[in-house]
Amino acid sequence: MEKIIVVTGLPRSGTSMMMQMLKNGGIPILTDEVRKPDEDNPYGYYEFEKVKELKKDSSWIDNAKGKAVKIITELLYYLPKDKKYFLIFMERNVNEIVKSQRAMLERKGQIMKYSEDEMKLLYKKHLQEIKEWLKEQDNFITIFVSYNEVINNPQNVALKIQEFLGIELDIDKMIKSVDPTLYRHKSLDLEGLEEKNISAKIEKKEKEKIIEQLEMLGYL
Amino acid sequence: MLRNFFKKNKNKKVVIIGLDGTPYSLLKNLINKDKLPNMSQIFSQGYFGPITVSLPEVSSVSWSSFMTGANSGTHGIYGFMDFKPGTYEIYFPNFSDLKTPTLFDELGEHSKKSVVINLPSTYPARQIPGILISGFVAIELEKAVYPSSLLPKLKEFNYRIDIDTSRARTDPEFLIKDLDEALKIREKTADYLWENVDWDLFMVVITGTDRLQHFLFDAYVDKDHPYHEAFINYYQKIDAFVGRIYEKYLKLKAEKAFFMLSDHGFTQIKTEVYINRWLYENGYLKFDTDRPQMVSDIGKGTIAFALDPSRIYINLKGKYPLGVVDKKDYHKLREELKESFLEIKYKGDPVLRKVFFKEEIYTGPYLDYAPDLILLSKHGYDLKATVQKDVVFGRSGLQGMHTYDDAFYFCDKDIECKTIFEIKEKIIRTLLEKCS
Repeated sequence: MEKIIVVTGLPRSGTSMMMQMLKNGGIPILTDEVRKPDEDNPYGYYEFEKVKELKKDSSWIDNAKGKAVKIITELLYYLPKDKKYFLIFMERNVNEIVKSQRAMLERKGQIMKYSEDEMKLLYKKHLQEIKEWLKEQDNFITIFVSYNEVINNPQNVALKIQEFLGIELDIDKMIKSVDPTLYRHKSLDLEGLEEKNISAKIEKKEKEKIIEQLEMLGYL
Repeated sequence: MLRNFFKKNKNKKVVIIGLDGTPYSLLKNLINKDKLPNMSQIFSQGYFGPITVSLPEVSSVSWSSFMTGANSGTHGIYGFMDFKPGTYEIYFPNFSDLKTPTLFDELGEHSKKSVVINLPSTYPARQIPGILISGFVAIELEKAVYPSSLLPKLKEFNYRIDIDTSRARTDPEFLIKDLDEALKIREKTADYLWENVDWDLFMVVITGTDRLQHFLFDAYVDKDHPYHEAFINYYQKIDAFVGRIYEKYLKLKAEKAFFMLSDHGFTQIKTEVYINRWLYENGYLKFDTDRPQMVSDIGKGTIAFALDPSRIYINLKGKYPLGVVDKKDYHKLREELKESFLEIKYKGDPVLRKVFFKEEIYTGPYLDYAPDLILLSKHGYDLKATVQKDVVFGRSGLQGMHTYDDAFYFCDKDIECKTIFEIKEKIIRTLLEKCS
């Protein structure tokens, strides 16, 4: 059976990045390329205009069989219930999402309708609701993917997606499609924090002391 | 309403005292016996109650959950040690491995400064908006302090991150003395920073309570124990410390809130339960040496293995180098292990209360790194994952073990919490909400 792969997440959570990974991995994408690449998404948005009308018209959904389509979280509720969906849910720190949104709107000469704090609250509430709803839906098979993990360890994510979809993908091309320079709105501007496994650099001597302390309290 | 929700109030302060490992039941007991006059008075107004904590119920996980409001699947810390992904190589997760911003970072985005003293799981210290002195497990003081300009003052105080546990474990006289010394230094440091630093959130954690209870819990339980009075006396010193901080708190000219909590409870050990030995005796675990030292000495044919204290991993093909379990057998094996674990008995008494599958208690992007099963023991049965034992049940000399459901929480503003995961959000709202 051809799978319907849905990439979802809040705006600016890495959905376009994931669409690009899937495309380069060998998954056909359902897009009409109406929205062109720009400074906010230089590699493209991979959107499909008819998704915006999903509330009224879902007749196009069969065109998504065997393909990946980007659908924002708010519209997941309107997907036909008689179909099965493989959902790739992108997750990113809400603070970073709001900062990235603000920057995008400013580039377009627009302002945010709500304050940053209000946006964070609304997003957190929405995420809680949609995740609770997804738990109840038998026709959604979901994998949650961290934006940060895609940036820091694209290989790991690519392998997880391959396993999740049960489809052989071009892992190398998926890895190469991730551009870490586009990670522009880090929530914490702390030098060195994004380097994974800094603990691996603790000297051997320090490790021995850690082992000793843990042993004394019965942890080893 | 939303627009007013986060209106900043510059004149709000929050004070948090952490007592590592202090059980709710112990505090209630000592308060009822009039041993803790300050906490008795403080807890008589506001909300004081038990909370449940993280699983596993160890400080590195629980304090991480306190700081982030998240479970391990989101913040990424599953224990004091873990495997490097795709290997059996052990590493020791530290503050740098925490995947989620802390409450101090989030408050900093609203220009709120925090002073944090001796909070476990914050080593090595990194920049936070304010001051951070790391707690256990912290090896070098130079790496446990942000900003480093504070180091000379801490050295002047003879600041120590922890007591000398290697000596204290077997020398109760020394334990009591060293706990006292450490408490004095902690209080001196807290006093200094309270007066000399501009802060919005002030947090100090006492970890001596955890050490006392690991090494001398029998002394609490047994009134005739030679160190029973010394045990109570230490808690009375803690009570005096809390009273002094609370007095300073009352004098703050600001809207304020006072919180106290522990990261797990404690109870007396009946027996230790060596889970890896049980797995070995039941054919699930093999070693590549006759004298395994650590779980990384795992051998071919291993089906499942454990990491401290209660984490069970299935040796999946494709996930681990010597993985033998096919994915199609995963769920059946999990069920089989769960049933078998629940059957483990000590003198006829089942040792486990419950066995969880990972998705039952963890959510988030790091769920893949979670143990496949997590064991919750009954009080008295201290689960261990050491591979150096040749029996399933035994003792090591430790007297107290952690508990999941007897930690405590208090807030003077009547803000209720039932789990450690809720506290961060309540603190943030307290500091950022418009004054009523």
